[in-house]
Amino acid sequence: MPSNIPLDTLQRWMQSVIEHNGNDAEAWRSDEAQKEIPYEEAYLNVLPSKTLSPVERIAIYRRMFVLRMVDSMAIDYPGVRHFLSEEKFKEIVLEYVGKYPSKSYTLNHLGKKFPQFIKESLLDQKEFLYDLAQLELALTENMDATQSPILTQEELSSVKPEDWERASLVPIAALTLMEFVYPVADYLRAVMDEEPTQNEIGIKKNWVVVYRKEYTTWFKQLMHEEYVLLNELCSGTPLSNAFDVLAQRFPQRQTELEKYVFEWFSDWVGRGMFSKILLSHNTK
Amino acid sequence: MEAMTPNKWNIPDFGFGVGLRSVHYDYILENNPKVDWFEIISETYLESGGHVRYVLDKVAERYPIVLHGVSLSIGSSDPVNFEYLKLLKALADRVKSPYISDHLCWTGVNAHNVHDLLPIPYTEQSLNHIVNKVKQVMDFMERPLVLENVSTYAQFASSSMTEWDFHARLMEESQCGMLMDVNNIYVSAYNHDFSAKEFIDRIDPSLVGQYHLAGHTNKGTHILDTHNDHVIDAVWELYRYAFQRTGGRNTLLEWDEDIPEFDIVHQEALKAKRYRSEKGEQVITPIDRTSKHAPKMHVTAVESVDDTERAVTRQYKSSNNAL
Repeated sequence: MPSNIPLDTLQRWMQSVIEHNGNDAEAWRSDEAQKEIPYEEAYLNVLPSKTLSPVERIAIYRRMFVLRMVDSMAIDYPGVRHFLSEEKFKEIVLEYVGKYPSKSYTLNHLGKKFPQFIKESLLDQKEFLYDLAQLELALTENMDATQSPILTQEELSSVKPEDWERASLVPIAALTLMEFVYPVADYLRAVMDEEPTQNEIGIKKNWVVVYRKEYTTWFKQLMHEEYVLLNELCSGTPLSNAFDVLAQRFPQRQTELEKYVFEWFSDWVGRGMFSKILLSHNTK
Repeated sequence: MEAMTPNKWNIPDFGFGVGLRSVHYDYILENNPKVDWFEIISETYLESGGHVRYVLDKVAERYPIVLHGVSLSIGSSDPVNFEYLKLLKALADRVKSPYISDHLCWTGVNAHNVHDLLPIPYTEQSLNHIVNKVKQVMDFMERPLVLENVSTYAQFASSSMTEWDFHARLMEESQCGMLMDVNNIYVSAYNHDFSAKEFIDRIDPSLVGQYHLAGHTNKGTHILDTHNDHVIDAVWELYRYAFQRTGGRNTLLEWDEDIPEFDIVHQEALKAKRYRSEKGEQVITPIDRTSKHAPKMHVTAVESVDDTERAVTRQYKSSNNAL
């Protein structure tokens, strides 16, 4: 019988055993595996070695699969792993890859749906974990984003004063603005700095920019007002209109903000967050 | 003494190479070590526009580079993934890889990827299927393809031929070549109780395009291909045996776990020079096995500026190498 097993059947069987989130016996006797090859036939088709049974031989692949999945996700989600603890994280990752198996040529894409998985889960504090996972995914994706040219001081200086009203800025490709309900930037910073962290995280809105400068990815917390203005600019809103939006959103702080705006703008340019400046034909 | 059997495709013999790994990026860019060539894990660079792409371009300016993939999945019953091949070809063109390599294995079916190098049943059906896929890949890539023999931990009763006969016939019928991983031959010979030399003898030396060497972990009941240590003497002797049949071939040292400092990896690769000679020449292992590891670039790097910001660096995913 074993000699008649088609290649695709054998491979679907082996893959189902490797990916099965249970012990070896459960994996071999699972419905998915036995749908392809009945247990007795599969057992006869995997040859024993002098020292290992068929089940033990396939178990080597099963163990390596678990290690790869968990190690890869731990690299991408150190904050989530820290919050959940190592054992719980492993359990969640194996559930995750069962639901969203890798279909990419690289493990760097394995965690793309992890925030969504957390959102759909029954985990304690899943709202916090969802925010945290989104930040960590943004950091991972930022590292592979296309490298953009950086807006230089010379290019800025070349804009005539009368043209500033109709100027808009193009952000670099490796920049993402994020708004969170939970203080995930503080939490991740604490994890990275090996500082004590809390188990119960309360709501505290925070705003973060993830960006890359000189091939290093950064995340930086922003004041709410700073986030609003930067978000407008990154959306292509001309400078003068963006300032108007800011003034309308925070009318009581208008005088104070006028002072900040120049500092923020200099800071963003200095960090290389913009790629180029565009001059539109229409003024506001 | 070398039995100079030219390889079928006139692939140049660059010499003794090292796998390019992220823990060594800074060292290589700063020190320009005298390495003959680098092999890259193709999938690491296919779509990245970030630091790894920057490093690759810099390294490609200074050294020959050969692509070594882990996700071609040539043995899968799934059809050839041409979207993946498009990316692979663009990368091969970019770094001027004279040929590409991957593994004689499968990594998943039904579009899954378990990111491991899984064993195939050595049957006529598998052979016909893989020959057809190899031809498609070589037609598309427009450069030679050499397939590496993998370390395996299971064998199938349904196999109707040996691994070496399967590999030999695959090369005859598809015109692909072999990346002979001498360590993998040793590992599989141990795990499946066959003769490593019989394997080597069956392979047409003109179809060997490259060699791999690596360390492994002997668990007693079986050997795991872990790429985490120096090459053992028995594997070096197998390399000598194989090399005497082929002569000059690109030879590469892989080290993917517990990666030491670059010089140690490079020195291990250069040891291969001593085995490109007749048996009897004394080989002294010059490496201090307690030497410290490479800087832990693969641990998330932290740069503190103030409490509002942090810099992060992706850790090295050795698992992407699907040992």
